Parts: sequence; C-alpha cells; structure tokens
Amino acid sequence: MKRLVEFITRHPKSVIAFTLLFIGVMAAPLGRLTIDPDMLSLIDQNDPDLVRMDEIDEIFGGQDIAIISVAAENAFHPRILQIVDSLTQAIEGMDYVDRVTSITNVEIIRGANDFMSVDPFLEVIPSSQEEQDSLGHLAAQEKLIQDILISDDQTHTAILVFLSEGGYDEVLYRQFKSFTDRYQSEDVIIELGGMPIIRYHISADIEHDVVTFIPLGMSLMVILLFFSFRSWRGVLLPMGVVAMSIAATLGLMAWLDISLKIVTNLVPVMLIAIANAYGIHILARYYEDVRELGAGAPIHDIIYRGIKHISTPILLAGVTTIAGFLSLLSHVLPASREVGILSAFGIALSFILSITFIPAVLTLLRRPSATENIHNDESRYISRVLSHLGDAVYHHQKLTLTIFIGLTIIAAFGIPQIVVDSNPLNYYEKGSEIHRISTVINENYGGSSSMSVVVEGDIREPVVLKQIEAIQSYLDTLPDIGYTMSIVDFIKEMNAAMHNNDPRYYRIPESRDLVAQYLLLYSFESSEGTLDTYVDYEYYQAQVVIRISTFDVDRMVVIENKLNQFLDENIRVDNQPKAEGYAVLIAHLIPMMVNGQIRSLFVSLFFVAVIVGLFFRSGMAALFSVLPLTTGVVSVFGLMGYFDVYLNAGTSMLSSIVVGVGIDYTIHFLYRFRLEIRQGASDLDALHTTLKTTGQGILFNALAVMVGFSVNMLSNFLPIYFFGWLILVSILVCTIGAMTLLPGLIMQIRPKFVYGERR
Amino acid sequence: MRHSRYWILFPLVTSIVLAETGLEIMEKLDAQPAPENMNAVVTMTLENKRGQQRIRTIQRYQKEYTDGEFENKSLIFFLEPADERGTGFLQWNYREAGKDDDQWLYLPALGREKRIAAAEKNSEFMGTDFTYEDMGDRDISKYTYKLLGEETLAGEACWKIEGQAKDKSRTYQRMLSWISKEKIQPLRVDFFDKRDDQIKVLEMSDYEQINGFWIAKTMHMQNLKKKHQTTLAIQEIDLKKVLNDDLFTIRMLKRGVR
Repeated sequence: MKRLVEFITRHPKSVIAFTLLFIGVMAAPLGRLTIDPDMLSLIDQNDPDLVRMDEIDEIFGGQDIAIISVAAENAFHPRILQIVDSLTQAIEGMDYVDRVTSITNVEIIRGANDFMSVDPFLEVIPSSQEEQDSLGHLAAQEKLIQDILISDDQTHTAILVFLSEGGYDEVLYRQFKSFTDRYQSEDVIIELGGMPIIRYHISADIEHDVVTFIPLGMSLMVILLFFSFRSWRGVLLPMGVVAMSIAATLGLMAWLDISLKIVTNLVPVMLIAIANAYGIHILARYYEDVRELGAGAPIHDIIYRGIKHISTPILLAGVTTIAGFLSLLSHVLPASREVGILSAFGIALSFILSITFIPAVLTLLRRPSATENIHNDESRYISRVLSHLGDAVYHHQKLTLTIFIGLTIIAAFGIPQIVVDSNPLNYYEKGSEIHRISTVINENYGGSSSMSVVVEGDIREPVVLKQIEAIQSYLDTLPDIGYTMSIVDFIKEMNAAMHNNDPRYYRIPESRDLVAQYLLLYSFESSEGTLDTYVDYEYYQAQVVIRISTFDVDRMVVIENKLNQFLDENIRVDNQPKAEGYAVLIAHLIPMMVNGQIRSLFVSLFFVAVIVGLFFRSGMAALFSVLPLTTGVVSVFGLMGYFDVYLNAGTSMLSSIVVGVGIDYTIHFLYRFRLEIRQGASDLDALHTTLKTTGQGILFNALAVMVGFSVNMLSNFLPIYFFGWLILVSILVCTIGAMTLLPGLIMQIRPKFVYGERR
Repeated sequence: MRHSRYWILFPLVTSIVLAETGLEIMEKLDAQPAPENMNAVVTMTLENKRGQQRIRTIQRYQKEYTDGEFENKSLIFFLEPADERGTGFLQWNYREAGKDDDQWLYLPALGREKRIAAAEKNSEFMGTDFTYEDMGDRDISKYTYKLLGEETLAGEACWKIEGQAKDKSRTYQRMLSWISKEKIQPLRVDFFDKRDDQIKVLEMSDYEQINGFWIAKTMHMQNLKKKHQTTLAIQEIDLKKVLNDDLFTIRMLKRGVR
C-alpha cells in the first residue's frame, strides 16, 4: 500500500493520464449502445419456451401486430369508413408492413343462390342510413369480424397491421402517428396499441430515464456534496469518479453487446447513488488529515495516512456491496444477472479510482487552508440529535428491541399478500396512454395478450378438426377469453357458404375430401395469406389462437392450467398439445422472478455474513450483521404486500441490493463501537462516540444513497418507480437498525467479538 | 473459327436490329400466334419460404376464339393429390372490354357446382405466384417500351427491354424482359413495384416447338416479397386435337376427369 501511494504521489500526471486513457478506451463505443425494449429480452434466449415460441412464429407467421383503434359514435358511418379506408391504404404502402386487415379490406366468405365468393366485406362505402344499418347488421353476424375488427356496440373498429421483420418501432410509430393525426378530431378518437407500439413507448421511456436520470442524479449529488464539503474539489472529485465509472460501465455494455433493458437502465442510477461513497470517504479523511498534520506536511504523508486509515472498513464495505450485486448472478433472469455484474464492475472501478485517481489529483492541487472543513453548525446539531438517540437506546434497550421486533413482525404479515407480476402492460400506471389503449383492446378486440395451442395430425381429417373444435368450445367456457380462432372457423364458414348459408351446415363436414377441397378452394379465392396463421403448409400442424382480455398474469396462469388439464384428459392427436405462446411465457416469468428473488436474497445474505464473519473472526458477528438487514428486507416485502406493489423484473432485484448496500452501515457501526469498547470506554460512552463520529458518516452516506435513488421516482415505469421508493425505505430501515437495534442487541447479549478481551 | 465467315454480316445485322424500337419487338412478340386448342397435363409445384411444397397435377383444356362473343374458354381438373381429384374449374373469358369473366367451380365431395366471383386480373391464379395477367396475354398498350440493349441469357442472344407502366395504379410499374431473338419468346421477366423494388422473377425455359408454336415447358415464378415460388411443368401437351365447344360447359365440369 505504501508503495502504491509513493508511486501515485511521485507520478500523479501519469496516473491521471493513464486513468483518462483507460476510461476513454472503455467509453469509446458508447455510441453503439442499443436499447432493447422487448420484455422477452429479459429471459434466457435459450429458454425452451422462448425457442418454441419462435418456432411457432416461424411456422404460422409472426404475430407482431400493431393495432390502430378508431372510435366514434358509429364505426359504419361513411366518414369513419372513409378514414379507415384511407388509413388502411396509407399503411399498406409503408415499408416493413406485411399486410393490413381492417373493416374496409377484410375478406369474408359469402354464399347464396348457388354462388360462392371470398371477397371484401365492404364492397362500397354506404351512402344511405339503410345501407349503413345493413352493413352493421351483417358485421354482427360475421364471426371473423365481430369482436375482432369491430366492438360489440360497433363504436370501435380496429386496423390490424402485421409487421415484417427489420422495421424500427420508432420509425413505424412516427409514420402511423403522422397518418392518424390527420383524422384525429373531437368525435373520432384514434389510438395506437399492440406490442410494437408498446415496445416503442418502453424504448422511449428507457431513453428518457437514462438521459434525465444521469444529469439529475449527478446534480442532486453535487448539491448534497457541496453543502457538506463547501469546496469544489470535494464535489468534483467524487462526482468525477462516478462519471468515469458510469461512462466505463456503459462502455463495457457496448463492448459486450449488452443492450439497455427495462432493468439494466437502473445501473447508472445505482452507480450515482452508491459509487460516490469511496471518494467522499477519501476526501473527508484528507481534510481531517490536512487539519491535523498542517497544510505544510508532505503530500505523501497526508495521503498515505488517509488511505491507511480508511482502508479497512471502507474496503470491507466495498467488498460486501460488490458481493451483494454479484449475488444477482444467482438470479434466474439473465437481465438481472447483467445488472449484478455491471454494477459490481462500476463499483469496483469507482473504488479503485478513488484510491488512485483522487490522490493523484490531490497531489497536484494546492493544500486546502485549515478553515476549509467539513464540520459546521449543522453537523454539531446532528451530533446533538445523535447523542440523544444514543441516550434513548441506552436507557431503553429492551423497549428498542421490542419495538423493532414488533414492527418487523407486523411487516412480515404483509409478505404473503405480495402480488407477483410479469406483464409489461402493468409497467404503466392506470390512465397512461399504454394502459388506456390496452384496455380498449381488452374490451373491444379480444385482448392484448395471446396464447396458442398447436395441434398436430392430419388437419384435413374431420376427427382431428373436431378435437380442435372441442378445445375452442372448452375455452369459450373459461373467463377472460376474448375469442379463439382456428382453421375450424374457416371450414365451418365455407361449409355454410357452400350450402347457401344454411346455419345447419355451420359445422365440420364428415368427409376428409370435402375438407381438402374447401381448403383448395379457399387458397384460390383468398388473396391474403389469412389461413397461414392457422395451418401450416403441409396441413400437418394447426394453431388455435386464443386472445386473452386480462392484464392479470395470475388469471393467465389459471387459463393455462385449466387448458392443459383439458388437453391432457380429452385430446388425442399425434403429439400431446399444450398451452403455449406469449401469455404462457410471461406466466412462466413469475416463478423465475420469485425464485430469482429468494435465491439472490439468500446468496447475498450468506456471502455478506461470511465476509463480515471472517473480518471480525466471529460467527456471532456474522449473525449480528445480518439482523438489521433482515429487518430492512422484511419491511420492504411487507410494504410491497400492504401497498400492492408488484414484485416484478425491477423489484425482484431489491433484496440483494438492499443487503449489499445496507450492510455498510452495520459494518461501520460495529467497527467503531468495538474499537471504543476495546479502548476501555463504557457502553454509553462508546455509543455516544460511535454515533457522533461514525454515526454522522453513516447518516451522510445513507442520505447520499437515498438522494441518488430518489430520481427513480420520476420514472414512467412502475417497476423502476417503486424500486426507487422501496430502496429509500429499506436503506432508512437499515440505517436506523444499525444505530438502534444493533447497539441494543449488542448491549443486551454482550457478544465475545465485541467485549471479548474484557472477560 | 466456325462463325468466321459470318463476321462481316454481323455488324449489319446488329444495326438493323437496334433500329427496331422496344415497342416494335413487343408488338412482334404479341403477334406470335397462340395455339387455338390446348390440352395439357401440368404439374404445379408451390414452395413456401421454409422449403415446404404442395405438388398438384392438373389437366387443362383451353380454346381460343378468333371472333365471336368469347375470347377464350378454359376447363381445369385437378388430378392429384387424390383428395382433390376431380375438383374442377370452368372459365369463360368475354371479348367485350370490361365484362367480367364467368367462373364455376365443382367440388366432387360436395357433388355440386357453384358459380364463383370473377377474379381480379392481378389476383393470383389458383394460389400460385402467377396472377391471371401473368398467365394470359399482357396488354402491351398499358406500357411504354425501351430497348436497353442485347444480352446473352442461357446461351441465347436476347433483347433486353424495359417496360414502364403508363398508369401509376398498375401492380407492376416496371418490367425488364429478356426476349430470345431466335424464338421471339421471353426467357425472363423481372417485375418491379411502385417503389421500384423487385417483387417477382419469371423464368421460362425448356422451349419446344410444337406444331409450329414455341411452348415453354417450364415456367418458374418467384415472389421475392413473399419468398414463395411456383413451378409449372408441362408433362403432356396436345395442340392438334380440336376441342369441342361442348367441353366448356357446366355439364362437363360436373362430369369430371375422364
């Protein structure tokens, strides 16, 4: 350590130059950093369910559909049809648009008077009230239109845009918007929805978060630092270190082709909140040492003294924080693992920069005058408050413990009420644009989520078709099903059309040849690849598309389980079919989040306890250190349960971050308190001294972390927003726990690792 | 060299040929006589982007009229696969401009015929990548033509001609055709849409002269946008036998394959 300090103070310019060069190289590809708004990017890309979903998309064509909803008093009013027609044609001409289906171009199967056709539902735009009414009447009877393209009350009509691969969501969104804005008016409300649109919003919001949070978090931190140090170097050096570690960490993402996702955008904020601590400690110590040694002392002595002093508890705090983040590597979701490794990298880097770059810069700067210091009137006030706190804890040790244990138990009762959620639609508040349009889709067009069942066998065989029909009939009895659609619906339509629309023939024909001939005929008549969604090219696989009209993933799980049970008991085809698709995949995210949460919590608690235990050479110390953390973690989950905060991709990382950060306060407290006791102080004196010195440091450190994380409360994403305030509460609980619960316990139990030498 | 004694003629021929305009060549192509009677067995192979195929064999009768009410009539029966056998398709194409075709369909498993709606000229023929327009004669008056030069394609000297649609609403806004100078028949056509993106490629090969008519026994159309392709391969063809007018009736449609 001595040699390192010697090198730094002798070659400060080389150290600075090397640091800047290193950061420059790390940050060089920052421009390549990409944003990935797809919810499914959070999952392991080799996940069998995800691979299977891609396979289904490959067979039946992708279901990447943007939905444009047009709402008016009557969707069949000529003016509305005119608008829908213009929009349909404009969008058909766009790049990356595969096909467009709307009420003005959808094909229906007609059959009457020995005449059969598959042609547009809308032949001409109605010119009279009667024509308009009869169109509405016709739509109400069309299973392929009603509740898919038009709402029950015929006030809403949808334009479905099937996108091909390679388009940019943002470009598409802007183009759609430029078309729809032309027709938007007081009595015609046009809204954009569907996955591509949601992805665009998520992407824009991630960008917004990154672009606003970094400068805002930094500014808040600058203000906080300025008020405590009252000197520019006290502000600029720690913040410089934070800025460099953020740049290098984001640069590392670009180097490794890791994109910014809905959870990884937490990383910069986390670094702002946490990574400043080491620089602050170095500077605080530097001012103290300058005062004690005098401004004339050699810089090497000042810096060496500073680094020597802080190295133990700060290093320990740094190591435990990094351990907390690395515990996320045990998380099931790869995106959470990315957050863990990236944050650990940024924090380690900021630690290294704080003990190399900052001393190098300090070597070059003039010594501060003795009047510049961190202790001021406010801190005297704070130390008075802290010593009162010490008195209170000392005189009411049992009460302190009782209150803490009582509150923790009350909080614990909230835990079973936690709702786990993985639906990205719930990332937005009720009343937000995304939530509104998704509600419109749920209520009018079958639903914003989907599942599918793939049936294998000779699809033209009536026996197989009847099994598909049975699956659909069963699904119709379940709640939250918007509609189901399969090749059977088309075959029944054809059969009725070929029998002059006789409703008795709205059924599957008995002859396989007839089914084959209907399908042949349909392939002649339909100009669109409508059937491709429902049957593969070789008529061996058929897809039942199920639209689900709820946001609630638990209810999707119910559908999945009931459907699978029905399929197991009733369906006999070549391969046992099961519920698959997007809704099933997000339902499977739920156990992943819960397991990830629990696993990373225990891993982080274990490692932190081991590190602390090794440091103090005491198993008891390990146990004591995790107690304030446990109250912090329990209160977070309790609050989530009581206040209906969902456990989701963001909040499922909370526990190990709370553990990694919250342990610092315990370590600082234990270290100083033990030092005081060993130097012969009484319990009360040791408590007073610890709270007044280290206690202030802990408070300031915690305040900085809370201020840093508070910017998350400005996020449009509920997971990030709640992450912000939950971490605030839990850090507060950990801090208070370290200063009250911990001394109370120590004084009651009198463990050997603190009092050992006296006995 | 084998061709050495013709070399002196060659520049002369070229200049005469180049003197012809694109339109003149297209008119020459258009003036090629079409067989009056055709009875062919054709294999249609449809292939999607995943390489999966649907293979069907059809029997096609077609009769061209030089005058009268009809331009032509055709009758198609599916021979294979077995479950589609006998499915029939009758079409009457009227001479009168703007008059829709009459079309009937017969499904043997249903045992009855149905009149079906007339297909649009730019819609696809029987689920293939060929539109009705691709299958029949193209109206050359809808395009302006320019001779771009000469190229050798599959060992044959060709004119390369560009056709530009006069009307912005046409599906194919631009076409590049390679016309064999020897046969006055197209070997290849590239189709472009409104954005001038190439959407289709048509290749015609295995030309055979049958009863004085050049017949491409293989036609391959690739839809680049849908990544779907169709190959039509003529297995048997008879241009000699005069087809009776009575063949193209609903009674014969219902009677099915013989």
